[in-house]
Amino acid sequence: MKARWHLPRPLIESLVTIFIGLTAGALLMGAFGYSPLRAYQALFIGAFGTPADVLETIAFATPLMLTALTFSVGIRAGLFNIGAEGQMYLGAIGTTFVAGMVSLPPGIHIAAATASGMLFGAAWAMIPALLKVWRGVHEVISTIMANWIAFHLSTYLAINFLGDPTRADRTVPALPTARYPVLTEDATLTAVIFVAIAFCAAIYLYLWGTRAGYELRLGGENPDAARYAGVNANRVILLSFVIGGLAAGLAGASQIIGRPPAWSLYATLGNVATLGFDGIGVALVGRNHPLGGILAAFLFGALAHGGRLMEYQAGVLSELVRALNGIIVVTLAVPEVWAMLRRRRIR
Amino acid sequence: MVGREIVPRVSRSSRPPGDPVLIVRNLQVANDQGALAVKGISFEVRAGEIFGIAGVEGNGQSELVQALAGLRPIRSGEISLNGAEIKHLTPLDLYRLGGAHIPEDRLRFGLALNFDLAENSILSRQREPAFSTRMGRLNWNAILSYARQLVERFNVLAPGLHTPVRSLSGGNQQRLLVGRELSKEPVLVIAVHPTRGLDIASTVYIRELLVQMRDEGKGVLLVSADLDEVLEISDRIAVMYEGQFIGSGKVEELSREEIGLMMGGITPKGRDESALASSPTSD
Amino acid sequence: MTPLALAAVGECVNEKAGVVNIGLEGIFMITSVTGVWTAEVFGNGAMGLLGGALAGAVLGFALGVISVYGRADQIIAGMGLNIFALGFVPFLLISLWAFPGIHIFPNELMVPRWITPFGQVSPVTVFAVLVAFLAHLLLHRTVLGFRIRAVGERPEAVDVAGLRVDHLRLLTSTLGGALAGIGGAFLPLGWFGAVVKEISAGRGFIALACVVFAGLEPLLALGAAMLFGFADGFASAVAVTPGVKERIPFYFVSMIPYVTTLVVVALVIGQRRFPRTIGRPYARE
Repeated sequence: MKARWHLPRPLIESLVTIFIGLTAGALLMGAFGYSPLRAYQALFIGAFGTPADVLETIAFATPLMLTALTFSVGIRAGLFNIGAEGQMYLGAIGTTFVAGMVSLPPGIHIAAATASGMLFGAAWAMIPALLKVWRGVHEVISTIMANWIAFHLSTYLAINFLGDPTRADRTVPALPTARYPVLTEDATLTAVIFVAIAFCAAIYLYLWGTRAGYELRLGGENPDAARYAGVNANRVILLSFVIGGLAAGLAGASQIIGRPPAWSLYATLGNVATLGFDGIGVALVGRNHPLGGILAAFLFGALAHGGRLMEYQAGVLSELVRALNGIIVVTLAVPEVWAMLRRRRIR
Repeated sequence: MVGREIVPRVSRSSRPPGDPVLIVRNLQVANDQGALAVKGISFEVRAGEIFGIAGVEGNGQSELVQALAGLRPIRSGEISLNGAEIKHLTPLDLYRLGGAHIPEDRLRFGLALNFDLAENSILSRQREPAFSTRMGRLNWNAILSYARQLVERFNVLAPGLHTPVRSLSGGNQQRLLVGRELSKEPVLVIAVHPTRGLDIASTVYIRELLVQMRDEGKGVLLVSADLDEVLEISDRIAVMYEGQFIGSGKVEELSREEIGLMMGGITPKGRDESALASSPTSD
Repeated sequence: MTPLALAAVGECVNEKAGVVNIGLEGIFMITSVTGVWTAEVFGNGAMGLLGGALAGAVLGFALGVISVYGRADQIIAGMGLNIFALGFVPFLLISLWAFPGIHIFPNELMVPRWITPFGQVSPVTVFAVLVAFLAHLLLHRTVLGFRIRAVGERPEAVDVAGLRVDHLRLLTSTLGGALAGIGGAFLPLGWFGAVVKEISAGRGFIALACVVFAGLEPLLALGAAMLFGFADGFASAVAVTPGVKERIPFYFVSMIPYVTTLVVVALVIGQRRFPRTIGRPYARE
């Protein structure tokens, strides 16, 4: 192997999968009579065309790095926690309540609203966690069911308890004291991005720098060896769901008190919906690493933000971006792709 | 059996054993299907001796060891380790009371393949104050210097301390595992198939280490399907057959043929079961 | 109940062979669209079901290839299919019918129901029940069924016996996909009368819950599908019942199927045994 191949392998693999995803997307667009070239051009310009667009891309990345963290911490503990979606809904509800209905001094208000969202998210994550510990219910089923229950519960709460009397379509807006400062007038990026990055970094330090983190990763890596090492499997399950719930809750909070112009939750949950599922692809591209997730989130943030211009200019529905996400996830699931690439390289 | 004739013998001085470090009485253990796999076994391992359990695999040895290591519940019977009577043994109890466990399947129980060498060097020791603070922070400086020490002392060949254990050879994986367990300063070492699948150099080295532990006054419980290994380094031998000890005795008193027959379930006539010294067979 | 039963029975057979398809939700979503599209092209609802079956078979086959030859992590691959469907279905809806999020097709395309003395019943429902019994017989009374079960428990033995592990697994995952595809097409063509982008609403996962509940036995899966299908129908019924609908918020009624699923799965799980090699690719040693 020559020296130029010495980029870290995970990075190469992630880039190749994204390339495969984009190619598949181009084929899909071509099949339905759209111009892939125009679409991707618009996508790219939309995401990076101006400094304001770059900032907007980062704003889109903020919740994604957190919902990706939910999935990553689950995978690190050997669990398939796809409940970020519902945990995030409840996080948004918890934040809306404290931010919109409670008056607190500036500074404390932001912290309280954020913490409330995170706690709501963690509390919702306890449902699948406890079902797993007590009854051995597989988390794929329990988290999805919890997501749908959370959807209906959150819609109900948003309309009946948190509704804005002046606008039927959304909840009361966060009070100005609970809003994260907007960083620039040109984009919806707020200081909540720093909280998100700090949280990811803190979880990274926790997983690799503490005994509990070591035991969590050991439980996911080799459950038998974990037992041999005296690790309590139930503790690992609970811990990973709590961390995941906190992250998803923070993602929900970030969209309420860290994202102008609405500063509130839509009654349809439209401004948070699907961010939890999108996190799965982000986590996998980020190699289920909290810091890799941050990088991958910027990439998916670019797809999400650029997708809007793509829809406007090339007529391709921006939701196609989610289909690309799915193809990327499937590609990452197949180890033989990498085996093939390696064989090719050696030849 | 790879190189039965070639593996150099490990020399073993005769030496009087001390007090028992492990006492097992009427132990019954079930297998995964719920059937009794260990049917009332009693024995002792004393300080300064190697007690070998021979037998064809699948006669309850795995279940016996897993029960002793806290990895499998006990149906009935008593275990006393280093003077402490234990009802519900957990792995942490074993280590706390001075037990070390070289498990039967190093890839399943003993190591985490995608963890790096340093991380594997504290597997099962992660709670010791030397490696993590009371607040639960890992002391990476201590872990790395300990891992480096293990690598040097036990001749583990590895590119670096951050190499995933997956990419080490089987022999080096086992050296790391054995080194980690023996460096716990144990009073009792439970070693299961400690040299299975290893190259000759590693095999001899690990056998020497076990004899050295014995000579330092530690008790060693050796379970192996390799009869040569059991004969070579054990002081006393029991043969396990269908969940019970079918026969036992001092190594000098048992011939290879006798043991071979017993492994097949054939009890030699005329042998007095009292040769079991202080440990009666099942009742 | 019908889509749940079809998908769950197919998945029982598939999991018996050691392959897990967690992408049932995605198959439901995509085949609901392809089903309606085929029905419109041929002007016939029954053809729509066939269109759904075909698309489902293709998706099941694709996942099978990825699992068997790609040696993929089947849970992640299946989840990838679900995420793909989440984006692909809205894209399809707007590309095919130029209207976002929903498409209402002519009522004539609905699959006709049989009128019986006990009420209306869809032939597809009868078919689903039949399929469950056939699957039971297949698994427990035929050589092929024996081989399918063997391939989940001891693929190495099947391999040594000279049978193709890969072919058997591809067969079951294609079959499972096709059955789920009929179920997906049934959602609009036999039930709702329209396709919407979130048409499946978690039913693919409820079908998986049926499989877990049933411990991979098709007849039990049919029973579970009836139970969960009843919860689904009950919710729809309560939602429009005068006197009740004013008192219980619609949102809580909508939760009934999901809560039922969670509770039932929590109650029965733990006693179920799954094939030894479930979810794991087979490779010769």
